[in-house]
Amino acid sequence: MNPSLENEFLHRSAAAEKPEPQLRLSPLEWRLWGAVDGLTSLAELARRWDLGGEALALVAGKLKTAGLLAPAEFTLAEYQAAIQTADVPAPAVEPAARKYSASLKRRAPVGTPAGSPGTGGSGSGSAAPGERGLSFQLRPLIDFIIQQAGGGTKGQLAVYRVFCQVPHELLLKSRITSLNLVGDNFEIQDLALKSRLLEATRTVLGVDYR
Amino acid sequence: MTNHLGEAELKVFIDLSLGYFATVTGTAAQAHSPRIEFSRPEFSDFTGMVTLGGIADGCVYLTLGRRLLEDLLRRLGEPDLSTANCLDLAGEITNTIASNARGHFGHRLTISVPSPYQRAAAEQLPLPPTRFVLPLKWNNHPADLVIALRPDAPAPTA
Repeated sequence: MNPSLENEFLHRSAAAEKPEPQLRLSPLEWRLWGAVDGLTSLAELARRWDLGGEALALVAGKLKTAGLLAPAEFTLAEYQAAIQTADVPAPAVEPAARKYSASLKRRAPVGTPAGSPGTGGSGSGSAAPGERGLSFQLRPLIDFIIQQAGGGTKGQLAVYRVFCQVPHELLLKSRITSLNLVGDNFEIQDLALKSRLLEATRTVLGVDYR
Repeated sequence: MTNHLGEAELKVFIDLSLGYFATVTGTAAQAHSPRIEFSRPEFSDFTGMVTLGGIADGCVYLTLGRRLLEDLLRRLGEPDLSTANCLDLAGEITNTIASNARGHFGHRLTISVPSPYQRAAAEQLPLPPTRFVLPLKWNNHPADLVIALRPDAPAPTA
């Protein structure tokens, strides 16, 4: 895989959001046009579609030249959130469970306020320095849910059950389109989202996350 | 009111899907790290889908590329690798998984007759937006097993 594709994030240009009815593209070009969201790298799309990165880069180049796609731009925090996970290859199910266990050992005890020493939250994430007291980190909550559900695939399914209870629009408002795209230090700013996540965790697991 | 399928019950669909490939082809499918997605769903060339009712509301589908299905048809001794046969096989795989799931859940969970779709048709389906996506790889061909549940479902009556 071409390493530069890991950093190639595209979105549809404003002019191309509603393409001309007579616009003609190949199926792969339409597929790429429909899939770009500014948060998924070209390398990730190539992996998902089992395509060579070079072939996809050629198609992307053509769409960029035609003005249909444009490079995505990020704030520093958004870039860190996107790029951290784009570099991580997908492990098999059991190693993933071990990864989460290791992640839990590295962290401060669950319930430590976000931004406190030991949470690993300083220096990245999406919170402005003055807002850290109001936000909380998503990854420790996910780790907590996985641990409570016994880890592994069951743990991941428990996370899914929790997120099923959260209104879709709240997730999109916080630009959460996939849990794989959320960096380790992603912090939730939206109090409504935080509240619904905590409520859903209580409903699904029967325990409170503090 | 929430969906009444717990983690262990949802995992049944994963185990049955993995079991299909191992049992029917003799080659196990590998499961990779799952994702939880909230954006517009992506589909491969062919998709076999069942809808769920009763104690859960939503759907489960397997979306597979043409190369996987052609390879599978060859393994099954079928020389006709046409689109129609690929579509039939996508439905047949889902049918096998659904039949075994019905045996597991009984009347508590209603599982529809599977519907096979090509990509363009699948993209038109109104599906729950929050999805559990388990990437699979069988014989080096990728596929996704997807569970998509709606947050609200009727309470169990029994």
